This record gives sequence, structure tokens and C-alpha cells, in this order.
Amino acid sequence: MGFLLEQFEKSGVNKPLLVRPNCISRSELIDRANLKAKTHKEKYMRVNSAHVEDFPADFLAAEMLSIPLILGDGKLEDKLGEVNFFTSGTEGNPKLVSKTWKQIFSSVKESESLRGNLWFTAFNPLLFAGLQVFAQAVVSGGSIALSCGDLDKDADFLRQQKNFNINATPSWIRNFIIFSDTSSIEPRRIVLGGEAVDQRLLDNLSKKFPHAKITHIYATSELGACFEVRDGKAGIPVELMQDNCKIEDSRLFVKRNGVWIDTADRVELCDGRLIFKGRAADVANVGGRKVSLQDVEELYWDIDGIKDIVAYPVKNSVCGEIVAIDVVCDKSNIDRIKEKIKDISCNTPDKFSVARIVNFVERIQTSAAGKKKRV
Amino acid sequence: MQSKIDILETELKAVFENNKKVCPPLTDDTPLDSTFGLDSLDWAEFAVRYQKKTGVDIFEDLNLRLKTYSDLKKLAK
Repeated sequence: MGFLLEQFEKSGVNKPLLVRPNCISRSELIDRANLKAKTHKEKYMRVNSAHVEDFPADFLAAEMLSIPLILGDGKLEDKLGEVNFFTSGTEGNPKLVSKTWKQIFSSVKESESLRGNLWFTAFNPLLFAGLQVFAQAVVSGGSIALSCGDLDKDADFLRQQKNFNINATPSWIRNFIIFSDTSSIEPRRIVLGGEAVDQRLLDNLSKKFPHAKITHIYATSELGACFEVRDGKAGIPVELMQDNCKIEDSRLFVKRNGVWIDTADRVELCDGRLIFKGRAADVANVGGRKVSLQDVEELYWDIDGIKDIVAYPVKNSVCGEIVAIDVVCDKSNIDRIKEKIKDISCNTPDKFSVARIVNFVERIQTSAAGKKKRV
Repeated sequence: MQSKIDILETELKAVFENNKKVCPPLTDDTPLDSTFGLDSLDWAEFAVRYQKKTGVDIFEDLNLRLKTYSDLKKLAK
């Protein structure tokens, strides 16, 4: 019996594994997998985001056939593993990562308090974070509900649930609390990952969901989960780092199997915590000067009324790039915020590191992985 | 519809205003040297604003040396 099927059987329950988009029990998923395996002709099983209606059945079918499972539409490589998915990579180019189901399930937690929970996930189920949620739901005898892409509908759905956890990127949940009515939504847990979490968001989440345990996880597709933080503070306490981490040129390196891996995350140590300053690629080249886009966002974040903000580089023939920001706020506040941004920019001595272009938008775009897009 | 010259003037003034600088009178003879008041980052901002409105990178083909405001207007025609 394959590892994945064994996990299905082991959980010992027949409640639906998938609740949304469709409600499908474990036994029915196994039946569907058997049917898919009988009719599948290709040498690998590819699943893309357009067809996730019964994605666990595809996972099982691939295992039954002992063929590689390919998640997403990216370009394949010659060498394929058991489970193959695409990640944004360190410099923005999608790359293929291969893992076994055993590796994907290795960081799953088994605990009575998690048994039978509903795992609502805004993570793409075909990317690493989504696969972790899938694995957790399988092992803990729970169910998975996928975000439908409509925040109001997601909110309505969650309002009817009990014993559920929300798993999402900081950008997704920020949009969720800004744009949806989250009253009467009471998650047991909120698990954040995929992006740096700032203290502002953690504080807002604690106020909105006072009974939820909030965890933020630092993980990469290549390394897996590295750190979990539950103390309500941004960054990672240095005590968790031990000898497995080092900082070089402000970049975080993590040791795996004796090898130092460059995470391409920019970090700094502050008050006993490792604070994430953004991806190494998230810089603008302004007249030859590297400017951190996250630092530019930080300049304006505390302006009263700003709900969300993203900085990104804009090319020009004069100095390479300048920094633009898209700002989300109530329309009634735009004029005041515009003036405040102008004040801050004019009073910042380093003119390379301010936003030169300011746009007011309805919402910040996010990628398929739920992360802020810097375009 | 605004002409490119009108857009040029509007966006130039916007750059001054945005950066709390005083825009000098925009006449054909107004020199575009350091007395004009804009630095390279300001010009970059202007280029981006102008391109957003017109789709044209005004500084892409710089065969003309920009001495006066009149020279800039020629790029916009």
C-alpha cells in the first residue's frame, strides 16, 4: 500500500476529507482514484488549478500508478520525483521542486485538539503550503475547505463553521479583514505563511479574532518548515535559530543535511528576534542604489487610514528605476493621506528611498500563491 | 483631449508640487539647468508620469540637448 493511501486509511474516519469546493468522503476519493488510475494513459499525472474539484483523488491515483504527480502548468524537467510542484524560486522564476509524500507529511502534527478540525485554506492546494494543509487534514481525520476566491463568500462559509482553522498568507488575511464582514467568525487557529508577517497584522488579527491561536511559520518549498512562532510577535526569537541559521550580507542561510542553503530572504536582528525585511529580489535599483521595497512601505504604513500598501519598481530612462506605491484606503481619506505621504517623502532625507509615484487602488494584487504582487 | 504639450506642462508642475518645490515660469527660454529646480530623481518621476499619460518615453531618444523648456516641448511634439 502506498504511503499516501496508508495515511488515508490510518486516520480511521470516513468524514469528508474535502468539503469545499465539493463534499467528498475519504472512501469516495479512494473510489475515484481507482477509477482515474484505470483510465489514465499518460506517464505522469498532472493537476492544475482549474481542476481541483477532487484533487486528493488525483494524488492517490498517481500513487496507485507509481507515476510522478505534477502540480501546476510549469515546464517539466527530466528528473521527476514522486510529487512535483512549482515554486516562485528565489529570484521570481518558477522552479520545480520534487518531494516524496513522506517528506510532505513529515511536519504534520498529531494532537487530540486537532482531530476532526476543518482546515480552511486560502493557500493554493497545489503549492507547498497547500500540500502541508492537505497532509495535516488527512492525518488529523479532518476536512479541507478551499477558498473560493471570493472573500465575502469565504466569510459567509466560515461563519457557519465550528472547530476550524484558517491557513493563509498574510496578504490574503489582510484583505480578508479589510474587505469582508468577519463578525461571528471564530477560528480556533490562524496559521500564516508564505510572506513576512508584520506586528501590525498580528495585532489586528488578535483584536479581530481574540480566541484564535495565531501561528506564523517560516518555511520554504526547498527547506520545508523551519520555524513556527506562536508568541504573538513578528520575527523569530533567536532561541529558535540555534546552530542551523546564520546571517551573511543580511541574507538568511539555513543549514540542511550539513549544507548551508541561501533562503534569499533579507533579515536583521533586532531585540533578540530575527526580523524579515523582504525577499532579496524585492529591491528597486534607483540610480544604482539598491532600495528595499519593504523599507519604502514601512515609511508610510503608519499613516492613519492606510489599509494596505505595496511598493514596486517602475522603470525609466533617467535613473533605471524609481519606486511607486499602490495604497488602499477609504475614498474619503485619499486627499488627507496623499498630503501625509507627500510630507513624509519630503521630510525623508534619503530621496532614493521614497515613493515617487503614488496610486490609490481598490485592492493590492496577489499572486496565485496568495502573496503580494510587486508590479 | 489634452495635447502632449499640455500633458507635459501638467505633469511637470505635478512633480514640483509633489516635491514641495516652486515651479519657475514655463516659458520657451526657461533654462533647464540646475536653476530649474529638478534633480535626476524628479526628472525620472516626470518621465514616468508623462509615459503613463501618453505611452511615450520622452527621454528614450535623446538626440537633442535639453537647454531650455522649448527643447523639452520639442520632444513632446
